[in-house]
Amino acid sequence: MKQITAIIADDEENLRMGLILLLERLWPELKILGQAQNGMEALSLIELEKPDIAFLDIQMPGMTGIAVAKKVPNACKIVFITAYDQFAVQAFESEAVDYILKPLTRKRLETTLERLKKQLGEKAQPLEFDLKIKKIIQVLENKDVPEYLRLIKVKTGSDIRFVPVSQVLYFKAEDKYTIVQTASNEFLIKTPIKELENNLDPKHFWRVHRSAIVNIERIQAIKRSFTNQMIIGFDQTTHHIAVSRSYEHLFKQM
Amino acid sequence: MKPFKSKDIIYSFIITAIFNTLIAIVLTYMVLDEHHFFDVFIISQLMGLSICLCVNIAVHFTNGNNWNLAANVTGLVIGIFMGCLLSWGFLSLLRGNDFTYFFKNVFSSVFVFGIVFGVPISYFFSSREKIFESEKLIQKEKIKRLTMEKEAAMTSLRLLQAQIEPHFLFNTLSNVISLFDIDIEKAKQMLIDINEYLRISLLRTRQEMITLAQELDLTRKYLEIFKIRMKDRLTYEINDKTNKSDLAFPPLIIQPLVENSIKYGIEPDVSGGTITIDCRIKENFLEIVITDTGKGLDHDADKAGIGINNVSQRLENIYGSDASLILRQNHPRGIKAIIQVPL
Repeated sequence: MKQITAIIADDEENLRMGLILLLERLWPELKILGQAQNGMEALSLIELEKPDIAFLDIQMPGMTGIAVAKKVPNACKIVFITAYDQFAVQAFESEAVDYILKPLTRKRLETTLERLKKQLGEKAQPLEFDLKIKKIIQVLENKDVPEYLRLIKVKTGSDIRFVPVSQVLYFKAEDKYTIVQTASNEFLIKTPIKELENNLDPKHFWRVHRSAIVNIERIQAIKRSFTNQMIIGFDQTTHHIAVSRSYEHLFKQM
Repeated sequence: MKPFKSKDIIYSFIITAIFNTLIAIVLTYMVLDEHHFFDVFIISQLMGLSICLCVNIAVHFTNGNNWNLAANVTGLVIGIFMGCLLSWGFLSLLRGNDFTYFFKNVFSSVFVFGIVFGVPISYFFSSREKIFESEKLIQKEKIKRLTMEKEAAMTSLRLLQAQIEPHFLFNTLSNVISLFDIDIEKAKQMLIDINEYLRISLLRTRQEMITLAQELDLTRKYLEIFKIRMKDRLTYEINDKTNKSDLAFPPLIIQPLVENSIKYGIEPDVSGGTITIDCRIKENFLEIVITDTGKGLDHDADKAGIGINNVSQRLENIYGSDASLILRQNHPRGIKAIIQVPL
């Protein structure tokens, strides 16, 4: 019978060594062809050695374990080992041969190895395995999408700064630019108001004018001008923003 | 000026009118004779409604606060005179009596009844109002207190979560388990580091202020744990040039920024990197600069931003607008976080 082979990829050496020692004990016949300490190394190692099994950490430098898994030929069985995404693990724990949570336990690894042996013995059902992997990759990728903009990248001279959105009083369109106003500074960015509106957390940032979005956490007072227009004043500054009539209803209950 | 609540005022007029009717009935059938009911009824209404009107106006113009008693008395007195005047007009102009008839026969008793009934009824209204207002005040205080309690609880929960990020624990404990097979001494050392880190951070989360030296100590423990995990992919340096061991400083400002630097800058970078923490006194400010040579924030800006926004808000809660947090791109690569707090 052909000897079964594997590779191990994890950026932390202690964890690679720990896994190798465990595998030596639990599955002495398994041959470890090599180790990788980042995603790129893992991919080239798999392409070079063509192992039956790849144990992949997900959070690796350069390239994530998920990205590696997507490029690996179908014949290679993937086992993800990660401290992340406990929810995905819960969802797949029952059926997955391919997803183990850190800290790695001997018992959980034994179960995985049993399933792997079975899978590799029956060549008939690789399709089912691939479907599972694809489902898991899908879940993991969706969880990775950030919800809202939290830092605004701005240029000041030759410098690049990242402004936390909580420091922003308001965004205001001006010509081709958008002004980012904080209590102490004013920056210009090229992102249009419309795009910002879609990317900012609507719990904190409200569009109050065709050309303005305000941080409602920073509002100090709302007044009416002598022409009866609503005017928003902000903490610690003399800056103010006019509310257009069509957005006044937002503040009616305040 | 007290806001005008038309519903309350209409209500008070209706109650007054009911009282007036009762008074007229009692007076007519128990004191006077029944032929005078119509006159007594009208005078009673004129008197009662005048008092009600005057007291309402007086209270409205005096804000309803400290002047409440004075406003009530003034309103009452003016109301009684107005009632007398209207009754006089009613009796002489509409009922065809002589102009002097009212003063000779009716004035004194109307005046006395005005006081006898007006005082307790006005008192009834004003105390009812007071109970109402104080109930509202209690309600408001309750809501305020509950909101504050909730916010305080949320803050300490967030702090706790920020300090002991679960994946940090999982990954670190994973390392310890592996190290037991590889290098027992290192495993022990790592457990000691984790233990100290947890003890310090769990105890400190409850404190508003610690010292800069303590915060740097905690950060050093944190970096030591990562040093065992990442080996030579991570180097770090802490330079405290303040020469003071007891500078007050809030917990959870430096450590979360260092955590961000590792998590989004150095750990995901193939070649690793260096973290440098420089502390110095600059005029009236304490300046702390945290520099990493990692991959920067272009890819994970929004994930990293959660922690950075928390730190920024924390600084503002503690120091108002006197503290600042600036984040800029480091040259040639990485991120530089500059914290300034007043001494």
